[in-house]
Amino acid sequence: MRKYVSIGVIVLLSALIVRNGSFFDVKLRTSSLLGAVLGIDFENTKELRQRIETLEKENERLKAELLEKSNETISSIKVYSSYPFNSRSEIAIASGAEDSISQGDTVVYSGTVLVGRVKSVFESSSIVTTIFDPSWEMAVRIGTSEADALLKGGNELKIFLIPQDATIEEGDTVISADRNLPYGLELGYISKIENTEGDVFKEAVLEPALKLRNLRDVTIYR
Amino acid sequence: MLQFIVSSFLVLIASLFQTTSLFLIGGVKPNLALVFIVAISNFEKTWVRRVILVLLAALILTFAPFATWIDIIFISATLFAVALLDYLPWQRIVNGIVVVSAATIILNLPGLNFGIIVLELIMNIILVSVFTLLLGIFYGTKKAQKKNRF
Repeated sequence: MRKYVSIGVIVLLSALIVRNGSFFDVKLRTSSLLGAVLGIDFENTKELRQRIETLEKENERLKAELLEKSNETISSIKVYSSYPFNSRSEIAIASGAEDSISQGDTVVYSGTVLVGRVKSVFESSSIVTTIFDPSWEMAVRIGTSEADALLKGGNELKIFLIPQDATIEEGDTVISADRNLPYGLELGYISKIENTEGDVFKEAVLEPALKLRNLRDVTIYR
Repeated sequence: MLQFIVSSFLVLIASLFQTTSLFLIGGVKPNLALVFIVAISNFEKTWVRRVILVLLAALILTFAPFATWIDIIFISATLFAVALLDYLPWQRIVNGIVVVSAATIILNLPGLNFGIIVLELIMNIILVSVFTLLLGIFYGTKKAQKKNRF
């Protein structure tokens, strides 16, 4: 009798663990740990990663669609040229006042990646200040903890004023949180954290999602 | 005249490339127009032609429908570099390196970022040396042949 009760309890406990998902988490962590130690990927992890990648792509697409719906957009504007000297980072785009573009409009690439803001508008072209311009400054949020910080442009994008107690790590995504720009535009990910003991704030280096060299078409949000 | 047409074409191509982001290295692009004008001015001694080359480059590099202060700085810095070239006593490459360095620093004064200036200086110096050598082979050989005929 005791034997059947024990088996029953074990089956019940197993069902509870599996239902709660704890077992699945433990299994994933263990296989991931083993994979990291042995340098191999387990089949189920691969499948899960693929699923995550698919879902992330779908999420990006939906976010882009949502942004387009919540803002008036002008899509597929060609990039003419970039500022020829290194003192500024600006691009000229093939759309201007005749397409109702105005100063301060947000310029994005690939739906969600922030390029910059319209600086000056001419009849059929406009000048856009990019996030790489030395004068660029904007409020951002980092990672899942959504730590507030300040992004400064330049040759190397740096994030300042990150609170010491903010839990951020390398690889965390950085999004826009500036009142002059749509919320949640992608900027890149943290590639390096600079933490000096005794400082009130942390600093970080941003690996940008935008590559100016590959920029051909942009979208404008108003 | 053929040498001037080729030089104009080279300056035109270099200036067009400078308005793209194709040559961005570490977020910094070399000043191809300046490099070509200095390298060509080592062989092109006629001032009218030199000025035409500088204005041609400035016209292509203009980033707005009207001339801005950076265009004026570019024209002044490049003309200064070309003029300085005639007064320096060293070899063509050394003269080129000196004047390109001076003009690069002048052109970067508005931004004044040490890292960018150093990186651009390195790129410009390498390019001006290479192009002066290459132009020396093409333009120099042609001049030598002319001398032999007479």
